[in-house]
Parts: sequence; structure tokens; C-alpha cells
Amino acid sequence: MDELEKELLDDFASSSDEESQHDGEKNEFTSDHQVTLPESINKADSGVDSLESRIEKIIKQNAHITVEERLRQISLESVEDITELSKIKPLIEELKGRLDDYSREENRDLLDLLSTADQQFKSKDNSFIFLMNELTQVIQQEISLTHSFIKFHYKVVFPELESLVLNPIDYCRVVLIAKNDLNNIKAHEEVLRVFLSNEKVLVIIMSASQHAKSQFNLSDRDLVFILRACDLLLDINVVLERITNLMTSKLGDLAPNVSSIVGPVVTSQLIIATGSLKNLSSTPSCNIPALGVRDMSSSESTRKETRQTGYLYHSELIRNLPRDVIKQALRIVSGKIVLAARIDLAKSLPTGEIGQKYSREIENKIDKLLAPPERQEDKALPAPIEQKSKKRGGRRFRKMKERFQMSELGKAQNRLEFGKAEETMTNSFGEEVGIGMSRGSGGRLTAKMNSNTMPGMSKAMKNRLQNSAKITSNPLSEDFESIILNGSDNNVKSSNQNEGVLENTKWLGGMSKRKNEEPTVAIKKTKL
Amino acid sequence: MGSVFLPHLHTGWHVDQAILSEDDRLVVIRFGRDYERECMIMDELLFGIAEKVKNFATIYLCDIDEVPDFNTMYELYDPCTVMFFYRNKHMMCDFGTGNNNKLNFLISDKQELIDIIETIYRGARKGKGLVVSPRDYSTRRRP
Repeated sequence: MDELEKELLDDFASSSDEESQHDGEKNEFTSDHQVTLPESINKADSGVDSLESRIEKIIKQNAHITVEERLRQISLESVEDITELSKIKPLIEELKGRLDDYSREENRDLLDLLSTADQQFKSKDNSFIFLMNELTQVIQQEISLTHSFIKFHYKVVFPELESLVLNPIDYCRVVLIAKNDLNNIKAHEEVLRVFLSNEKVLVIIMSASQHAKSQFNLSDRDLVFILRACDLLLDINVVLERITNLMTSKLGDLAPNVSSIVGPVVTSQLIIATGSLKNLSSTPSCNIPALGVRDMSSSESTRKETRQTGYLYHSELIRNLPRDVIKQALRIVSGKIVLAARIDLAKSLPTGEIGQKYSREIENKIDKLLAPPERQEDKALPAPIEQKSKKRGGRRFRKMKERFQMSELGKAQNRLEFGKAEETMTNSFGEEVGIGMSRGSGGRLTAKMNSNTMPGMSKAMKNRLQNSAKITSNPLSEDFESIILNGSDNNVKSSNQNEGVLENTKWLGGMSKRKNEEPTVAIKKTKL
Repeated sequence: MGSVFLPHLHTGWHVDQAILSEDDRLVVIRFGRDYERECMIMDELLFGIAEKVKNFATIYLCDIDEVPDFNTMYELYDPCTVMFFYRNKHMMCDFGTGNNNKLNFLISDKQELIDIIETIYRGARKGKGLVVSPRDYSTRRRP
């Protein structure tokens, strides 16, 4: 493992911020995913029994409780020593020892054999890994709980620190360094630089020096409790790291397909970040690049193209890619990771062959992304051969052109007789217009008017009008109307005698009026 | 560089054959010396457009020292001369420079050269012996 990986392992707890949001749903999964140890193994080793059963008990207890609920149960003000409440603290030393034992074990082949030979009874090794896998959730809960305790009590000393350093582990380290006197924080600059970026260190020192004047001094007792909590948090983090290391080394059994895509380190990081393999398989692939992002609010990340600098971003697969393909590569890889995680969960392919297939696919895709765009050959220009247009105008086009031509009259009007003053007339707009040669003596037109510009009617229109004329001349309809109208006429006549009926027949009177106009229209139509 | 990739005509016979054999394309021949500055620039231009105009023109290079046969006939005294032929006929083009027989000045733009070749091709297709260049180069003429 090189330095970066180590650093990443340190960052595990950073995901606990996001974890706390998801805890609710996660616990639903875990409740039906409890790992129970085979009886025979439990009995065989009584010393081990106690630890594992205690872990199981804790997991069961925590299965349905979210961090928020626990925070509500224990009001932070009343609690003085969070370390007493910690469920994991009594187990830490024992756990460390066990984890060391497991990671030191060389005879994994035998255990593998055992586990493959008998599916019913998982090997001790395997079951322990599964147990650890479950435990990581509890540990992360514990971390965020302790973190909120420290935040709550340390706020009086340095309120801005929690917004400056979001990562709980880094926060604790800063608290351990700064303690009660913010004035001297500058002296520890070198130490801060080890785990924080230069930019962050500068900001912390600046704001600390500002707060130093109005600083509230904690009593020694309170400070001891805070520092103890910090120690606890770091201790728990160490356990988490150990678990990660163990899982990394044993992931061949847990998630062979996923680890053959992104390698064991990233696989374990992802599994721990989501909580379990089951959770990983049910995570949407678009969320996977965001797992393990150290600090969402950092200004550094916005400057880069990709903001999702999580575990996957730092994986061997992605890290060395050029910037412009990273985003796409992240998408490709995370999609395959989720698929592989589902296969691993189903345990249908324990050899990891589908993972290898996926990784080959990913390699191909990334290669294609990296390939330079194909050079386009110069396209030969078409030979500039001019062809005569095959289209001729036709009668309709000629007529159309004629309609826009200048009329004979217009041409004559523009012509002037030589040696004579032009006569003028006022047109309908009141403008003076020269007559030119358009009129002879006595104002007679010399040229014909342009007949093409006259409004005409299309054949279809003529037909339509003829048809409508026929309908109006239909004797039946005429009779019908005349009957009504005659009747109305009678009514009108009678209304002269009877005033009460007048209103009743008013509209008929109107109709008769229309009838009187209609015949003239009909005559016009028939003419057309 | 361009001179490396474009086909060279090494003898008078080759030049004749190149002009004779092409039936429906313009033949563009650059007469000059590969090592001269103006020739290099012109070759670069010609090479740049060779692929684009291949539907209606072929481009050849000819060294006037290697093939001196045409020097007196075509008056090839300039460092770089480009001449156009269509179906064994010499095509003239009025560039506004006074010399309609050949293009003996440098052109700065590829598109301009393409336009000239296109115009000559159009005229040649219509059976004209002289066409007018799309641009007037009278002011750009070298002294």
C-alpha cells in the first residue's frame, strides 16, 4: 500500500457524515442480514465466544436505532462522559487483538477449502468477516455520536471549527492539539499540516486567533472529558482501519467480483462506506463516486472538474486518467461495481469471473475514451459542372410574371413628349401625377389597361359559386321559406290588429327584411 | 514538404503525357525548382488543396533544370510558374497582371487557389481558352 491508500483508509470515518443520513434505511437491511455463528464453532472456543456474541448483541441492539434517535435518547447536555456510553469501547482492546490475529494468519488456503467444502458451515474466518462487516455500521454510528458530543462541548471554545473541519477524525485531532488555548495554535502549525491542507491550516489559525480574545475557558474536568472522547473516537477509528485492512485481505471471499474490478482496497472502502455488501448492491450507481468524498464544501474540489473525489476517484483504475475522461470513467466503473456487487450478494459466481469480464469491458471503454478522434480526410470538392436547369416556366408561371409586369399604360405614362410641358392631374390620394403620353387629346386613354392585373377568379371558385346558386334556386327550399315568410307577413298584418302578438313575430319581421335583400344577391351569383 | 508528396514529371515526355492523358480534368503543372523559397510555398499550397480538387484537377511538379524543354516555349524564367492545361490545350487566365499565360506570383490563400482552378475548369468545359480570374491580382504583382 502506498501513501495515498493509507490516507484513504484514514478517511473512512469521513463518510460517517453521509452515513448518518442513510442510517435509517440501512438498518432495515441489516435486520434480516444478521450473521449467526455456527454452534459448534462457538462452543469450541469459549474465549472467542464472549467477544463475538457481544458484538452480535451490539449489532442487534443497534439494528433499529439511528444516530438521531440515540442523540434524542441521551441529551448531550446531561452526559458528561460519552466514553461510558460507548458500546464498543470495552471491546476495543479485544477487537484489536483479534483483528491482528486474523490479519496475521497465513493459512487462508485451508480456510478457503473449509468454506467451499461445506457451504452450510461457514468457516470461522468467513463468519468473522461478515460480523466485522456488520460491525462497521455500528462503529460509524458510534463515531458520529462521539463527534456530535465533542462538537457540542467544544463549541464554546472554538465555534467555527466544526464548519471548518468537517471530517470527525480531523476535528478530533485539531481539538487534541488546540485544547483550551487557541492563542498558541500557531505553534502547532507543523503538526496540523500533517493531516490538513495548508489552506485549511491557515484558515484555522486565522479564525482561532480571532476567537482567542473572546474565548471561554473550559474547566479542567470538562476538558478531560472532551479529550477522553477524542481519544475514544480515534481509537474507534483505528479499529475501523484494522477492520478495513482485514476485509481488504479477505475480500476474495466476500466480494470477488467487485474486487476484481476495482481491487480489494477500494472494494472494502466502498463496502464499509455503504455499510454492507447488501447496501452496496442496492446503492444507485450514480452515488458510488460520491462515497468517501472527504469534504463536499471544500473550495479545492470546485476548482477541479470533478467534485466527486471519493474512493473510486482515487482508485488505481481512475487516478491516472486525464481529467476530461474521469467523469465518464467514473460512471462506467460505478455502474459495473453495482452489478458486480449484486452478483456477489447472490454468490452465483464466487470465482469472480464476471468481475474480470467487466473489468475487461471497462478497460476497452476507457481505451476508446482515451483514443484520439479519428482524423477526417479532406473531402474532395465536387467538380463545378454547370448543368442547365431542366425546369421550364410553363403557362401559369408566364401569367404570374405578366401580372407583375409594367402595364402599357404605365409605360406610356412614364414617357414624355419632346418639347412639350407635361400635363398633370391629381390622383385619388391628392397627389399630383404626371400624365405623360398616357392620354391623347381630350383625356382619352391612348394605351390599353393591363388586363392581367384585374382580380380574377379561379376555376374552383367559379364552380363553387355556381353550385351554391343552384342550391338557392332549388324550388323546394324557396317554397319552404316563402311559406314561413308569407305566414309572417300574415302575422304582421294581424299584429296591426293585435298588439300582443307583435313581440312574438319580431324576428320573423327581420327575416322578411333579409328575404327582401336576398333576391338581388342571388341574381348576382347567377350572373357569375 | 509539399514537393515530396506531389508527383514529379521528370522528362519532357512525361510532361506531354500528363497533359495528353487527362481527359476530363484540368492539369496543373508547377514549373520551378523545389529548393526555391517561392516554389516551396506554392508546393505547400498545392499539396494542401490537391486532395480537395482531385475531382476536377490533377497537380504535377516539374523541375525546370531537369526538364528544360519548355523553358523557351513557355518563357519559364520565374522562380515559380503554375500553368493550366485542359485536353492538351493551354488555358489562359486573366489575373490582371498582364501575363495571362501563367500564374507566376504567390497566392496567400488556399481557397483563392481553389477558386482560380475552379474558374479555369468552368471556362475550359465551355470551350473557352481564356477566363477571367475571380480576383484581380494587379496590385499584388511582384515588381
